[in-house]
Amino acid sequence: MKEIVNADFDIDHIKHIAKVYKLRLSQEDKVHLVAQLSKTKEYLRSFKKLHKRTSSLLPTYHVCGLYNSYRVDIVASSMDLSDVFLNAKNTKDGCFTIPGLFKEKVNE
Amino acid sequence: MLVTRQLSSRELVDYYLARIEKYNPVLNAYVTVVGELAREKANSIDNAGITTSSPLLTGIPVAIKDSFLTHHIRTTAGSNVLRRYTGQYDSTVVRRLKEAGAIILGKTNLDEFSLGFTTETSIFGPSLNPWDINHLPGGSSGGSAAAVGSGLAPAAIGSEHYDSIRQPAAWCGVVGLKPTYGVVSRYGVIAMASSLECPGPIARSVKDAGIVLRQICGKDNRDANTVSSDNIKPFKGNKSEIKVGIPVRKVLADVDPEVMANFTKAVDVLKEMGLTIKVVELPSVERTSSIFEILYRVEVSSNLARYDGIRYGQETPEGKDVEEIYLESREKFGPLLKYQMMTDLRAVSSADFQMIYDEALKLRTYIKNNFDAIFKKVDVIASPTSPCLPYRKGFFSGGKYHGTEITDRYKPYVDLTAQLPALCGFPGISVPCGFSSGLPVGIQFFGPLFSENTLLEVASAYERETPWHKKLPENLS
Repeated sequence: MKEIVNADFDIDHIKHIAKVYKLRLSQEDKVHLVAQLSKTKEYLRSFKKLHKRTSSLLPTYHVCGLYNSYRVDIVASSMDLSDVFLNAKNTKDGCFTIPGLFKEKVNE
Repeated sequence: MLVTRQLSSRELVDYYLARIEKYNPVLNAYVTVVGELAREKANSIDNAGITTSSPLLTGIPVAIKDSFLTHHIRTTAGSNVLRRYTGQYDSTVVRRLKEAGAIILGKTNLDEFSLGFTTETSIFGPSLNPWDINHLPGGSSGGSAAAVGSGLAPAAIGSEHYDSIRQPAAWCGVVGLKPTYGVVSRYGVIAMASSLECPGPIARSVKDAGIVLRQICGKDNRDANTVSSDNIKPFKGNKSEIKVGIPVRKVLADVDPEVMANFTKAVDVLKEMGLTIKVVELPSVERTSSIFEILYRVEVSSNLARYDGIRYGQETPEGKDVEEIYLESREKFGPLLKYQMMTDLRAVSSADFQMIYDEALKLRTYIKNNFDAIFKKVDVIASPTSPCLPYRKGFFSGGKYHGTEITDRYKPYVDLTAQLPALCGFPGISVPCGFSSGLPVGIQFFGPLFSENTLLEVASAYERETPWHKKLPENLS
């Protein structure tokens, strides 16, 4: 936590987060978000203040106390393919189609 | 009346569809209406006949928030990202309603991806308050509350992370019930903050809300976080033995005087009913929203990562590569959603974030321990559902909220009376408790985990003593 609390956020941080979340931002947005991210950092400072109260506590991962709760492993019929592709504009032979990830041409 | 055939399901559906046709163009409560499907279903129910052994909601029309998947019905979450998305299956809540015999009238408006509290962030524009169309219905389940409040549906489904059922219910003069986290399945609800999401009913009366809850609750194998409805504690004992906690004056200082006047009268009614009133100190955590924001943003960002433009109804433009498709698809997110993702500190340093996340979860334990101590002294806590009257239209515009001195009071108050209990998974219910300047005011009761039956008993007893739930907007009658 120390690293983030002391970090001075700049445009490069914003560019990095935008890349992670695949968001296209204007320069104006980026400048605005540097300030917002710095404000978020204040949350962490408030956490540090509360540390005395929480150091002896265990985290609450689930409010009802469920632990290692997995989906029941039972065989069920799959979704109909027509429903699977209901919203996909481009499909072929039971698959979603997308533009090629690699640019090389395949030698035939 | 349906069982005795004084009224057919088709007549009931036609009644609501006629009202939707007349008033929805103004109120914008529904974003999709499935009139033909509803009529077909009603006809088939009428032909089969309704008996006393029919499922409890047989032939009853309902409205569904547009973040719940509905098979072969458009489901948009109020977002451009899903504008063309059609539900591939029914969410568990919708499936259970159908199994209980309910008929879906349509899908209701909401803030984009349920992020907001006015419905003004929806791509369909805001829903309007049935009591005064210059005001907003609240949100995110504002379309559902407006539909029930204006008599465009007898009941509706909403969902909340902290007050998105109860606040719009209060602003529209109806009942909103948030169940304990895990009591109602989230399967098929377009996900935002998964560890907080609670689907629940909005209805005209406490009794109706309880009936709908009983149809949709319970263990669901498709949502590992659900618990059996057997966990809901039965209400035992005498209503007059119930102790109601009221937050200390410092918390209520943020409440608008007009709202406070109604709340004070409501507390007097509770006293007259013989309930014991005790002043309680809510957990004192400086900047409580910090915990919420840390947990909320990371979950929102994770859930929104799936919208890549490949599977969810977007065109794949010719000549574009995958990266461009991602960027163009995700450009359609509204400004508030982009803000949530861009201020998610996990993306800056995932290793550090684990420590931050754990610290937030420890604070959750601290808050829970505090509430556990309070609930040894009182059975439920009552407070004004919203500290202010419904906002005027235009509160959110140009990509941001335009607060005033009064509306800015909203957040610190809600942090204490809604966010903190929600972090602990507590159930709560809002019931109408009066009017001010012609707009409804609500009182909420919240209690410990699985205290739904106690909340329903208290709310129902209060409702019987007061006339507010019987009132309807005069301009819509």
